[in-house]
Amino acid sequence: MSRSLRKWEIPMLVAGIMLLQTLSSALFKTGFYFDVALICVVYVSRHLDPTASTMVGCLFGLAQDITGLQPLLGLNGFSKTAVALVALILIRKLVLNNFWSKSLLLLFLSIVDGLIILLLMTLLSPDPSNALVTSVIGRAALTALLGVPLLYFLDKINSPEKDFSQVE
Amino acid sequence: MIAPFNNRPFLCLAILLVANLLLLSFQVQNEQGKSLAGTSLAIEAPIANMLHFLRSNATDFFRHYIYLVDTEANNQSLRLENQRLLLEVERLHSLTEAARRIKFFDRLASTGALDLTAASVIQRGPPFFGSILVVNAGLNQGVKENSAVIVPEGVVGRVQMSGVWASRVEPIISPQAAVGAVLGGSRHLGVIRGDLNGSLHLHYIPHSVKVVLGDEVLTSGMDGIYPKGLPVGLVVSVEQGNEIHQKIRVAPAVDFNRVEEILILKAQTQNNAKGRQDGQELTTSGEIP
Repeated sequence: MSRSLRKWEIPMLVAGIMLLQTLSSALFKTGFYFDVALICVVYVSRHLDPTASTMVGCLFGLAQDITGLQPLLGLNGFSKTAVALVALILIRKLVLNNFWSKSLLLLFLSIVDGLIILLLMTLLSPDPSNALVTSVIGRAALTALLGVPLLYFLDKINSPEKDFSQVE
Repeated sequence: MIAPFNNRPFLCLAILLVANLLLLSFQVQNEQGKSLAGTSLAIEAPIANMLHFLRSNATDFFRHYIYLVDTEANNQSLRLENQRLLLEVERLHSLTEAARRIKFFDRLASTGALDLTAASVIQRGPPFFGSILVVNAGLNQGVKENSAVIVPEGVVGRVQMSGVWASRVEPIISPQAAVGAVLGGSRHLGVIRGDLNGSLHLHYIPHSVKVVLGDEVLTSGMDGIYPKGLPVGLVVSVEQGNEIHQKIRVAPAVDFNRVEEILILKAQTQNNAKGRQDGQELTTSGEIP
């Protein structure tokens, strides 16, 4: 695990995901909430090596599955594992120095995440709901908009010396 | 733990993806997979409970404490409103009572048995001056001296002096007043007189007459002022008195402190007029000569 991430940050983020996910499930219509786990995956991908990043992505996804009233355990575990590696690659390749570039990255990753879940649901469920597509779009838009301030918040609170726009 | 995968991130990725797929397949194909959902629910339930607790308590906090900022002003406002409503209730209650009495008077007057006029008490004297009442009906309304004044509960008194627009009423509790009375039970005749304490006394009832507490005392119609059979009061005490007559105290049927609307009998009945012509003990003013 990278030295640039503090030891207690991962458990804290898992707890935060579970808390916010449960809160979102209770407050909002299913699917129309921003993807906290995805934002945290992007955040840790910024600081971890690829192996650790995928493992933490898998952990965050499973935490989301447990607390997000998902139909099957492992849907988000699978998607977040993949997205963690994609996020890490994109963060290292792209210059993310303003709100819109970060927002577009989150939008893209959220859509990838949603498409993976859609694909899995199509494979595993005989009759996937059409509402799932709508929820993927809604969630991606919300995640792209709210994710950037949350990333900024995480950078400032947990690692004041870091800046999300910096590329290692 | 992750050391073996340090240089092989794609191997780690593949293993994790396969593990997740196996997990999903296990849930889809086996009934036992439902136990996993149960496990996840067991993990989620405490968090959901905690959030529910926090949310409900936060709501209560805002509802019970934050909103208390305006409580003092609201309390003051509600107190004033309460006072206003109490006064309004009192006023409406008074109006209802007045309407009830006026309705009774109107019904009584509409029978045609007696010539009646209704009036309101516009002034009242102190008890030590005989609790004289002034009513807003006089000669213009046909009210003459010695007209009987009644209320639904019983006899009030007589018109002592009649002006053009108003009259002075002497209540039966006045020491100067007297009313021809009869005991409801024994039908024995007597005379009611008042005292300065607001009580009535029934005079001239001999010891041979058995008087029971609670006996009703009615007007006898023999005094030429009051019609026969109107309630005067109830016997509340019977004492030895002098060697001939008992000393009987009577509680008035009318609460003189609450008399507001009264009925004045402008014309006397034939019996009353006849009784006066025949020279009864009582004068037309109701006083003992």
